[in-house]
Amino acid sequence: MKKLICTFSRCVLIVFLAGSLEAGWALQTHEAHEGLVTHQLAHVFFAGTMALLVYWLESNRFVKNKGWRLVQISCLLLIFWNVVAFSGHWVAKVLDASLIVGESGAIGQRILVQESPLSVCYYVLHMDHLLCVPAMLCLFLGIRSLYRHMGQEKDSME
Amino acid sequence: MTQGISLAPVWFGDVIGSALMILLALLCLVYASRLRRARPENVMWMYLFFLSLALTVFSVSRGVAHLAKHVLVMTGKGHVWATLSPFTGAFNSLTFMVVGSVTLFFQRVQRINRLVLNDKKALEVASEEVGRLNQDLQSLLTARTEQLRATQDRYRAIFERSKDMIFVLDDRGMFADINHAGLETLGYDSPDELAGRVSFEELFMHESDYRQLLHDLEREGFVRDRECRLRSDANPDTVILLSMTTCSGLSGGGLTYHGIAKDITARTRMDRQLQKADKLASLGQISAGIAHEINNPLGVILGYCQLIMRRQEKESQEYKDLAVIERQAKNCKCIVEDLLKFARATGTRKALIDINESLKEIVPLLAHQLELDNITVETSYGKDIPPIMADNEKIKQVLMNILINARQAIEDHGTITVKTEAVTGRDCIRISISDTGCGIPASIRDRIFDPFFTTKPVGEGTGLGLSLSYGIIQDHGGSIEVNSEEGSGSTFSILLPTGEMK
Repeated sequence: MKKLICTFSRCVLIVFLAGSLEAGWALQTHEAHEGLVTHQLAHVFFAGTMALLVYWLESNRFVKNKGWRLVQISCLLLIFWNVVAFSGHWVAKVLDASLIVGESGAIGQRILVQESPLSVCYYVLHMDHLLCVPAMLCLFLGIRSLYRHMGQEKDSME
Repeated sequence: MTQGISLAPVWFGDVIGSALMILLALLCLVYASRLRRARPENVMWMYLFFLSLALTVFSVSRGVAHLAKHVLVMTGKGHVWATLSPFTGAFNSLTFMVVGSVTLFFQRVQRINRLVLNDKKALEVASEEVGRLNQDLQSLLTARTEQLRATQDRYRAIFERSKDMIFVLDDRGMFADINHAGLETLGYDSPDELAGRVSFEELFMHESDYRQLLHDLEREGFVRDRECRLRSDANPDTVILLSMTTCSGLSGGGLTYHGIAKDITARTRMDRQLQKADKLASLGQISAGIAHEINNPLGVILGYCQLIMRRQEKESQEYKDLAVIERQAKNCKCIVEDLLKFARATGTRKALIDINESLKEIVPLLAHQLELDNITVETSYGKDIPPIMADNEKIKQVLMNILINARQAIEDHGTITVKTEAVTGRDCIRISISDTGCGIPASIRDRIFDPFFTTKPVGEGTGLGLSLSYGIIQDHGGSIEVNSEEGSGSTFSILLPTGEMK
């Protein structure tokens, strides 16, 4: 366990040192290209590993269990979320900033959807919580189901 | 009119979504943590824990950052958010990487873990199998040991309790082991007296028999039902029926001989007696037939002889010649009568008699002559001798015959012992007449009761004395036994049933 934590810490340090702090923009505006590329690659990597997990759970027949099936659904939602987020970042990059009216981050901001179709995309893709929240919900339900299932197994054994 | 559409839904979605993400991520972490605590060794739960941890870090980082952004912008501190934004973004990227790495790492670990678990399961199965086999082996070993012990006890009991002699000889022919019956037969008290000290060869009456036995054992590997004569201190003449086998390399040892012998001394003696009785019975029948055939013409001869003698002058030569014929004819008649007595063809007049009284009548008759011949007569008449149902005259004749034979067996001087006793438990009496004479050679011991068998020179004896004694005793339901040792003397034992039996 200690070894795992050490490895994890080293990975975090390497990534932290390798990447530019200035370029670490996420859904916020990324002014530096490198930061955006790094972040986008992280989304791709995240989505890819989730796809692998989906495949792995399927091939190992874990999905027969309700808990793992929910975890698999969660993975699929996270893949979609990554796609949406990836697209959202790209749209935000290419969209003309003048099409968004108002102070950045304020509740009263408006977007001029008539000026560019990308404005609509921007609007829709920024509703990414509609994917990531259900994904987390499925993950939670899955883990809880696995926990309860384990408890039942233990009871039946006793 | 305001242009565009409001981003307020996005804003609210962001705020609520961020909060829900934090909440759900924390709940995931809680349950993953419980799973991990319940089964620390389970790599799946470990993965879920790290996945939840990374996603919680991501959700908290992102959610807090987004909420902070809104708060800062609303409070007019947008520039602070501008400073924090790159950090949170980078941290989010980092958490993606971590989640991905954990997932990749997990799959590898899980594969290894599965192999380890399979190996563990196989080891457990093998261990259980080994344990079961070990237990089975122990049970089997215990059962086999018990079986072996039971078998050993059984065979040992057969060996020890057998009424036949069972023995083991080593490669030199020395006794290695012998059972109780064997010790009794050979007259020993303990196997130690024989083991390694006495060879089988020493016990053989005839060395040639032992040589032949060894030869046959070497050639055939066994001998079956061989009659052998053994001698020992306790039993000078023991007849055994011997079966032997050779065993080589048994239990890692060398050559050994295993033997079973049945003591048939008594049976052999009985057979011999039966043969003798049969022979004498046959002789008796022949003798009776001949005697009857001779008796009648002899009576005619004697009658006519006596008739002619009456007509002759007593001083005449004819009368003297006829007297010789008459005397010889009477001799022949006596022989014929003895033959008839042997054949038990004459009538008996049985009455209750006291054997001691009979002996007291006979012994004094011979005593005078015996004294002259330097022969001492010792008598030992038993007290409370029961009367016997017998023909007194015939019994006296038997006793007289045996006493005369005893007298003739003593050449120079010696002792004749007459003894009577009641045989306890057999309802009979025993009359023993012993002498210290020359004894009877073993070669003729079986023939002494045969009619006309005599060791005397021709003309001195008819050889009918013991025959008719045998016949008379048989006629009385008794028996005569002879124990004789050449050079030491003989003992004739007459057994007669008591009167009560009759």
